[in-house]
Amino acid sequence: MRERHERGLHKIAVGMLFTVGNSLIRFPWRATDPKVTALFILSVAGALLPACLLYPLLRRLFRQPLGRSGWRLPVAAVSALAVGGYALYVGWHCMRDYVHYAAEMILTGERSLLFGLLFLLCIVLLARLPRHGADSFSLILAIAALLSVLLLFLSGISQYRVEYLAFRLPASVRELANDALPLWRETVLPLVILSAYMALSTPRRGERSLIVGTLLGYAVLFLCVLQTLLTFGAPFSAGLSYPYSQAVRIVSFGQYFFRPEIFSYGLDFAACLVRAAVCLATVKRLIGRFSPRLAPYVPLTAGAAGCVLWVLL
Amino acid sequence: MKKGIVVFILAALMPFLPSCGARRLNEPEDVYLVSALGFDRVEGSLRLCAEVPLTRENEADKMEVRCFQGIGETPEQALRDLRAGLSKELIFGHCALVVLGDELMPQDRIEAIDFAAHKIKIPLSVPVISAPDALELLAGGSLSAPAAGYDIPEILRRQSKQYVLDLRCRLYEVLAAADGVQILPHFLPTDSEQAASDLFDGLRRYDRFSLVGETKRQELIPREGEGDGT
Amino acid sequence: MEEKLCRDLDRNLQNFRRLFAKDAAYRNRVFQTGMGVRCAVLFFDGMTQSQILNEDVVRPLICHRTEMPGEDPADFAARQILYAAEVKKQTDTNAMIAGLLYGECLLLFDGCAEALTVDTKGWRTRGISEPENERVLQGPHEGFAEAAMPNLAQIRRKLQTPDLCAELLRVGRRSRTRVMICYLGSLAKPELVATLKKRIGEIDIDGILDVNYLNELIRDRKRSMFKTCGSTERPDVVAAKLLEGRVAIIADGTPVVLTVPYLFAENFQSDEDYYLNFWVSSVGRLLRYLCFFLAVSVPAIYLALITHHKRLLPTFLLLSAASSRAGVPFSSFLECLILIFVLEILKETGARMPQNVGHTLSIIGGLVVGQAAVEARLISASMLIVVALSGIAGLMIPRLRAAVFYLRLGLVVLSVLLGLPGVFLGITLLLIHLLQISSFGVPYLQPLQSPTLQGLKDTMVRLPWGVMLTRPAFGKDLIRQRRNKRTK
Repeated sequence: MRERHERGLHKIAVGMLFTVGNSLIRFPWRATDPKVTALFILSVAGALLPACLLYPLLRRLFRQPLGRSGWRLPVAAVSALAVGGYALYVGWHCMRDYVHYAAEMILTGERSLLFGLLFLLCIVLLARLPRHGADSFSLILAIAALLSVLLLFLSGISQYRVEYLAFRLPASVRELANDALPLWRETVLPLVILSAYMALSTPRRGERSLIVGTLLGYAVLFLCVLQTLLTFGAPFSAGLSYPYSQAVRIVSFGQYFFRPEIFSYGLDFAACLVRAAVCLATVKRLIGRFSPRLAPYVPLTAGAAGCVLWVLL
Repeated sequence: MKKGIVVFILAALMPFLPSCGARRLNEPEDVYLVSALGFDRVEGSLRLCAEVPLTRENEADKMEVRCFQGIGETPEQALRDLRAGLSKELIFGHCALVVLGDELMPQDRIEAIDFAAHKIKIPLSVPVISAPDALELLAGGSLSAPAAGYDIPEILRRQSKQYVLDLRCRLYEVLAAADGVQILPHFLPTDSEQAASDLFDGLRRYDRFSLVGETKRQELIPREGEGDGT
Repeated sequence: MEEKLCRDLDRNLQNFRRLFAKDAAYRNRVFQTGMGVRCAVLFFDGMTQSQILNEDVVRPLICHRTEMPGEDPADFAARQILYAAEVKKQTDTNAMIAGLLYGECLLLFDGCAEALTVDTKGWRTRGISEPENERVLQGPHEGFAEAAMPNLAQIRRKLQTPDLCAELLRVGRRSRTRVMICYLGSLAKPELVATLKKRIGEIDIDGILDVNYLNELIRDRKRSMFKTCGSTERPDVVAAKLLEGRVAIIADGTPVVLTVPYLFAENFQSDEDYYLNFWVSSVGRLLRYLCFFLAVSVPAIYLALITHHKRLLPTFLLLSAASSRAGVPFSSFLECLILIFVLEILKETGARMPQNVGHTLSIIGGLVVGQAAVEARLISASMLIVVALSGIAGLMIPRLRAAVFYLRLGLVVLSVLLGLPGVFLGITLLLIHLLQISSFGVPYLQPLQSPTLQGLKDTMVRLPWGVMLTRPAFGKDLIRQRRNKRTK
């Protein structure tokens, strides 16, 4: 009972960090405008779709014996191929986004090659950790990330201008869809991988952890976006690169502690690392379903391929 | 497999390690910290001036302040001209003030603000003020702090406590209001005979960076319970 | 030597003489017993206690005149004549030799293929004293000595329960060192004990001279800089760990006792945490966690900030750093490295030198390195303060001394290469490494990685005893105490 409770907490942490992922870096700020509330609600509703619909399906598909004949094996293989391919795509982009973000915002000089290689190494090592190790890693970082976001949000209160938030419903469904699609593509669609990861790694039913983790991740995203909008307003945010980091940069605690953007860098680092590692771990488990002998080699192989790609590109 | 990972880490780090000690990275004494930026229009060209405090060995409290300037048609050209005469790199991350000269055209002001925020990326919370001549204001130094860039924001902060001022003069606020009205504090250059309070001259109102009105300090409404401050 | 004795006393004696021909401490005496049988006593000079040998062994054998028709002389002597408390009958010559070499005396009888070993141990051991490295202000001041049995006796005095088990093993082909595995049968998991015995059984080495040999041969993750076996010289600490379900390993010849499993959080526990008020203990614990972070990361973060992320520093602090560095010929990275190594040299020499020289060395080190180097503009004052702070913080956690040194260096290199992202990467790699380690099947970061309220009550803080209801989760019986009406 106690272990079930503990494991639930770990899965929630994984869900939270995965949901944040590189969404903050790739957040389509132009889409926010005054329709932010409607869009967020839509996004959260959309995020629960993988949890409520896909998760039971994937669990049924991947956790039960595949059998040698019948529909289950080919369907599972095609699904695994699709999900695995998408996971590699999302993981690669997550890593690339973070390294470019770090190169532009944090690193001085031309060190993104080395940073990318070491970041990739961390992803591979994290994906190779046994199940509990990776979850524990996420729990430790999630607590730190959550506290950082809350602290930064509360510290920036003196900068906020409430008039920047104008709540307006979109004029038509078409308008809403045009604005929502980029948001869904960046934040909602990758949650399919999270559902697959949870389906493959949770021995018992874990919808609750998945839903709570996703909602918590969205709460964190919402706080970050809200802080940015309250500080800069939507049009100005849309013109900045990485507006959340810029919003955090102007927060200050008195005379000696200011520009606490290191906390936002930490949040992005943790979220992108966990998202990329979960993507790689999902691929490992998917392959492990079909060929358990090959599974341990997947992270290193993917890591080696990633290194080559990174150096070449 | 584990040996392979260790070898990988070492192989990744090795090419970069020799550069750690042999090459001096940007040590703090190898850079100029810009404390304030000023923009003026002079003889048809744009003048960019950067106020830089210089410290002496083990005497951080005794600062000498220099103002470097560069001229060009655009802020980028002016910066290139300014850098040409310097032996150290300029760091704008500690810039605490942006001064816009009164002679600037509206387009100049937009370009200057945009350049400061997006090209050289000074902190967005930096106050923007106006002055008759930015170089004169910055080169004249300050009465209470070593550099005008550190002193004037403090004066502004104190004045906003004394008067009812709805100041939205931070860089990002000015940029956000680019299509509307901007209200910028106006400062005068220092004079040894002057009182500190005479630096702050009042407020100037701009519409799309064109001057439309001004309010002198004497016309400002003091906060309740505060005196004139002089 | 043959495995069994023969009935001829002279031949047996000859075999033993041949075996110990080059050992000047070997002694033997042949005499006629009161039973009418010839007997020889064999012993090692310096290993036995003469009084016991003379009064309780030789004298009664000679003086006790009796008839023993048809009886085995060894049996009769053991039953009726010898005054010593511990007498064993032996048939295996290896056991006889082992006993001789451990301070026992051997009695051979003419016409008898069996011998008697009598406990006459008399080698000198150090008295009970407080361990130098584990001093406490309040609490017991006892420490272990080099003999295994008296050490076990000290533990037994604290845990007066028949549940205390002590299994004897011999390790080392030539040293045959006695190693005891000690645990509470109702608390330690059988799998843990079995794993430990298996690992010790697999050791094939010439000799075990210190418990650290065992430590390095049985531990998980042999190359990790984090230890997975605990060590202590205090019997109260061992008793406390046994009460948590751990297993202790006592080796003869060393005052240090190992305890397993050993977790990361134990590096931050002090022996007197449980003897002082919980408020004081909790502050100490939190300080140690903070000091670990400071010791490992402060030089790296400072380097990253002044070289890569100048905008993150307050302006006047940066200007102060700039003015203090003006004229220093080395880069910040080299300066930091030099100071780290000088600090380690000072610490090592201070530990190794005799006390009176050590004091002088500290003064010279402080003056020369601190004052003169700054004035000569070889190093900057700000870097000196940062590295000194890191060094002092590291002294708060002596158990992680090696780890702190390597981590500090590693993070400094990463910070100079990549700034703060490099520090993040370093900390991430450290965290991943810690998550990979386990100590005898228990994850190394427990209970931090699977936090429960009860588990955390003795981790970063030490809550009052009335609130700590359960043992660590790797033990068998989790209920540490039963709350009675008075403690509610």
